[in-house]
Amino acid sequence: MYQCRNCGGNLRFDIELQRLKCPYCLSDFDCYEMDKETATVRPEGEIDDSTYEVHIFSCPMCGGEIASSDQSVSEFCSYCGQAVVLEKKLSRQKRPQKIIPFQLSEEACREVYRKKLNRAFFAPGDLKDPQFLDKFRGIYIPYWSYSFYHQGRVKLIGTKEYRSGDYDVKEYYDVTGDVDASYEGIVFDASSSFPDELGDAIAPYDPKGFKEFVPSYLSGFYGDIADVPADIYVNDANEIANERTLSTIQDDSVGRRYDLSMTSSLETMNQKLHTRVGETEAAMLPVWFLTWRKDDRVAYMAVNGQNGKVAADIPIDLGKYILGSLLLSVPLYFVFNATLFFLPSTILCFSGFFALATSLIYLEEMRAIRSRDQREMDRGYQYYVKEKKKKKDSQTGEEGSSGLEEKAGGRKRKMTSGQKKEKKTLARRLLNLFTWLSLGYLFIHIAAVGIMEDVFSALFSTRTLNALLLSTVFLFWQYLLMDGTDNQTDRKVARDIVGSQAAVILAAFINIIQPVSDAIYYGGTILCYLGLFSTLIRVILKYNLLITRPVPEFHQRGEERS
Amino acid sequence: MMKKSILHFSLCIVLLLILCDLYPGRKALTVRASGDSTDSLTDLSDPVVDDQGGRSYGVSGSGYTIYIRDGEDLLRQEEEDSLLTVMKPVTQFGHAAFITGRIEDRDAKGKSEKIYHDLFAPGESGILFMIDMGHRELIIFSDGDVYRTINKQYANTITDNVYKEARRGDYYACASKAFSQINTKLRGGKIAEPMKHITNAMLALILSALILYFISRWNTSKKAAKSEEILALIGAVSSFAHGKASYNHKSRTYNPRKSGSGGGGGGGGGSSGGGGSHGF
Repeated sequence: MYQCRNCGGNLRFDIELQRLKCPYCLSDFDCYEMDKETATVRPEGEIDDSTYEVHIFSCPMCGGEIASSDQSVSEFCSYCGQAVVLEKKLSRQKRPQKIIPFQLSEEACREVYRKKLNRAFFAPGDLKDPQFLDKFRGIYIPYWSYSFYHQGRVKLIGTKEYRSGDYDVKEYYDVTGDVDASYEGIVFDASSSFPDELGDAIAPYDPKGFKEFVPSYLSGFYGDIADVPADIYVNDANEIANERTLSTIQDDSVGRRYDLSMTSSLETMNQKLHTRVGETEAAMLPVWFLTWRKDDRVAYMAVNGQNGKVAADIPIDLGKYILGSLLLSVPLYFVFNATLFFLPSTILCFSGFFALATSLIYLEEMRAIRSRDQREMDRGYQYYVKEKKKKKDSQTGEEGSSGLEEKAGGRKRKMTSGQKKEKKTLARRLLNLFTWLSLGYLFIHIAAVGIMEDVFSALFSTRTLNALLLSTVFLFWQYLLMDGTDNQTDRKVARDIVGSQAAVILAAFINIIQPVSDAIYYGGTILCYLGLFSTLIRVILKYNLLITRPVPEFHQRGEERS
Repeated sequence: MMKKSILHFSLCIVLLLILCDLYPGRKALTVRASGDSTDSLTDLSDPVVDDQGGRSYGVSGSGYTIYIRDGEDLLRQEEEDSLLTVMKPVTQFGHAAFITGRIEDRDAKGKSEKIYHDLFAPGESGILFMIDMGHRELIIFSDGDVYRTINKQYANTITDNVYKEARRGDYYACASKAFSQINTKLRGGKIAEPMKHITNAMLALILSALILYFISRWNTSKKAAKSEEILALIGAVSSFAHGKASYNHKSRTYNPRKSGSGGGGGGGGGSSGGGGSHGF
């Protein structure tokens, strides 16, 4: 903590002045001078340039940790959004080399966030509540800053393709030249708790704003803790540098005559381009961070503290969404009435395709939710999970007896899964039969109509399209029952899309049978739409799961550090 | 403030659309003879019977004709006479023809067009309602000015509305209802399409929910900064000098071109007429 020379008040970093400022007597001080002063008053032997002293605040609920040079008590956790008094302890942390101090004030941050929300018509009202916006917290996120250099004479293979008579000809050339490139400050976040997608979305930071790190910059702000090693992202940064150099060569007057995009491994490319990896530095970059919590889900809003770029998880208010849909449906209804006319069979066919499309949307949404909840694309987090699992495995190895118990339990579970498998096989056989029947019908129909009339009528008849629809549905269900898929997820997915899938089957059957009565077509269409609705409602209800995240669980992280 | 304006604007649009929908719609066709439009058949000429047994009645004043040919003998004589009363108002806009028969041709709709053009010159305003017992199909074919109002959409709607009568064998009721609806539509009136409204309303609701879903997803999607953007900002410097290319080797793969057939000829001209049909 830095104290005012004049009145003894706690100094805070002032964004406008870019200096430490006393909120009581309004005196301001240079960050480096204050840091030097504090360092000199420390007892001899305690000065260690590689670390710095901070208070670590940990959340008793999720185990999330943030550091601060202040001692003031924080009343909520930035990661799980829970209103709790965070536990505090003094700790020494590895000192980063560089920092970009906050350039964007809290008021300006709220303003850019409000602008972003203005476009979100269905956002819940409390996301715009001024009291909620007061919870924006300035956090320095740890990043790794990578540097790469390409210098020397390079030799790449360039190709040129053309046709000569009945031959495809490919000529190979050696493209040589002197390359000179430097890339300093390609950054990737070094915190497993800060989602990569947020970091990527609020990037880039301007490295011209880098300053030498001193802890005084943290006054009044928080700092996340680096727990992802530098080598996790080194290849990603390396690829960015290599691609740029390659594109420089490709754009050159000689390079542009050939195709240089021949794929080669990173190592080969590094050899060809004489890549030299520069120093990897730890840096702290400013982010305004806000968490919205509802039940067991959280939504994060992050604003780049240097340039104001926003990335936010914006859930929807179901009431507003339904009202919006109703309002939009009115003009659409009148437009349809004025412009569309379809035969009952065509309407039924459309409703079948819509129902199939809704099922696919639902499946895509479920995949995206799974991917997001497990943070599949978050390299830092995946590293953290892997490490956690390694540790757990090594502990399990020591506990022999518990392993035996697990084995017994496993056998018990195996029997249950065997029974399930039998059921699954029967369902699969039936589906297989239906698939072949529908495909058989499809081919016979095409052949018969093709011979009696013409191929065009055979391929594009209502019956052909509907037989195709039917086959797609049966194939789709076979895929769902495939081995290796998660039983529980399967059941849930199957239950949620059963309405729309039944709708597709109904539409296809009616259109294949081709009854005379319009009532059957219209009745089928209405049933089809109702089935489709049942899936569509689930798609909309699950939207907030797709946009938000599960409450994080960092307890292991805290234990590891302690 | 902005949201309120958007809401007001949306409400205005909705109101405008409701008004548009309530408006009678397409202006009724010009009536050629404003004479007697009652049930009286006094202005009909004596029937002229053709070699197929069809009877044509000239309507004085309008110059159009009523043609009835009940080849399948589905109507009694008094029903045919009564049908004349229903068909007569249509002749203020064009010819009116009613035919029952058995078309052997697979393309019954094309055949009905031919029948119409055998009776009346192509482009001449009029309408043919046909009951094809061969395919058990109701067909409406219109041409000229009448086609501008009774287009394929309305022809289909009308056949959809009357197929039930044909199904239960009440062919007079079927033909009478069809000509009555044709007359209503030609005079600028509306014909009932309840199922169209229900299915359109449901489709509108589904589409609007889907559109807003995709808009919301697009609005909240987080686009990662492109590598060019990152490199531009970090002031990456890269240069390539003394570039040279020297030939190394080449590879040849035999891949003969597939021979293609010549292009097809152009299509024929289209007809102004059209219509709709419904099985029964």
